Amino acid sequence: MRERDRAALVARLAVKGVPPANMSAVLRHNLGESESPTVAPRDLATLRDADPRLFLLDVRSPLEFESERIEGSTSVPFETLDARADELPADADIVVVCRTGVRATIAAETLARVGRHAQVLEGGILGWRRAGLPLREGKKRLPVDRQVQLIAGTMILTGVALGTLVNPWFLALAAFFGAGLTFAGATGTCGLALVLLRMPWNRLSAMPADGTATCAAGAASTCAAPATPEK
Amino acid sequence: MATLTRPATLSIETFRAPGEGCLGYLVVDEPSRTALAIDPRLDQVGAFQETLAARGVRLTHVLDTHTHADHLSGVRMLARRTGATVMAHAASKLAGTVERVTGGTTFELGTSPVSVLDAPGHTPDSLAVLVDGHLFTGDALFARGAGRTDFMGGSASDLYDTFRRFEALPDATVVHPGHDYAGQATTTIA
Repeated sequence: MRERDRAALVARLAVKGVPPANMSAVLRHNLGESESPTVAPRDLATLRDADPRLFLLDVRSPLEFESERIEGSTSVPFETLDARADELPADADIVVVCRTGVRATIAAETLARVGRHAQVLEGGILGWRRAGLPLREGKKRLPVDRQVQLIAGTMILTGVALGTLVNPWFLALAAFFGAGLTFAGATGTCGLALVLLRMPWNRLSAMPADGTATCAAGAASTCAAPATPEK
Repeated sequence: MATLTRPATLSIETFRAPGEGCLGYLVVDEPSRTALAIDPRLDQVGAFQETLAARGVRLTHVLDTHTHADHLSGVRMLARRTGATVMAHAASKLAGTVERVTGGTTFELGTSPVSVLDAPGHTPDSLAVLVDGHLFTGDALFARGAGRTDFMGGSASDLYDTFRRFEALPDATVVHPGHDYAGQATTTIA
């Protein structure tokens, strides 16, 4: 390493950040302290016909739920599950559903904390579809991050075209959207995404709990320190 | 998923989680058709199994480089489905049947010797895996960055010492990190 000053590098490595979301539930699972049983899609399809107490709990966002869902499932978005756990039928055999099985596993851990046993649909909606099982299709929408990319890209292209062909002042349009994307990338807060989330066609989209919106899911680096060691 | 092939004995499949930059690896000893899985996510267990089946490879060992706090581990599910041995650092609190390893532990992956290095700093139970000039660093060292040390008993001082340990390896050692936050999945010690 070029940087030989131990104290300086240690100080750079010691920067504090925000803990990853749902850390305690993730740790319980990863340490084997609790494990929610899973049910394979084909088995669930059979169970659904045989078990009248089966309760399919879909913890995806309302937008995802409206786009496609397993017939007969009930939407309780992941972010609201803690507060709404007591709304679940008392004697139900709960199977939690999400897109891949990850959110459902954390949701099942959450339910276990309040004394509710739940199974997880293995592979989530994607696994259900891979197994060739039917989904109830709803209205399809572009994800907000793709709407942002589409609008910003169109505006930049338009600004450059009009700035070149009509009047150089139109370049300001491209500059404005370029600056907006740069700001969003640097801060993780995207003004255009916030506006789009309030549009009627996105009305069902769940807002993040802290009221911010990022242009890309998982944009935050939960495991990286700002400090960069040099060799 | 990308495949990086070294002459004859070893091939490495990389499993990338879209959006979050998590990287998992399947290290295959080609002569013996046996494999070691490193940091498989829960939502990648199916993909690991499909790759094993497609390539006709038997999974013998599976491990997490540390206790992950940002995603669900697929280690136990993958082990259950394949019969592979679960390995974890001696400092890990992972419950169940686990083969504990620590810095200096060596084992055979078919014809390839595998060495475990202590890599504390990001977490106290962090380890790195060295096999045939490839170093799997987990969240200790990224291609252009370092793991955070501010939760789960992390220690910046320990992480510094871990870097020193990595620095002692040959410059040509290929680093395979647990994330590609900088958009770069591999680098070298040099």
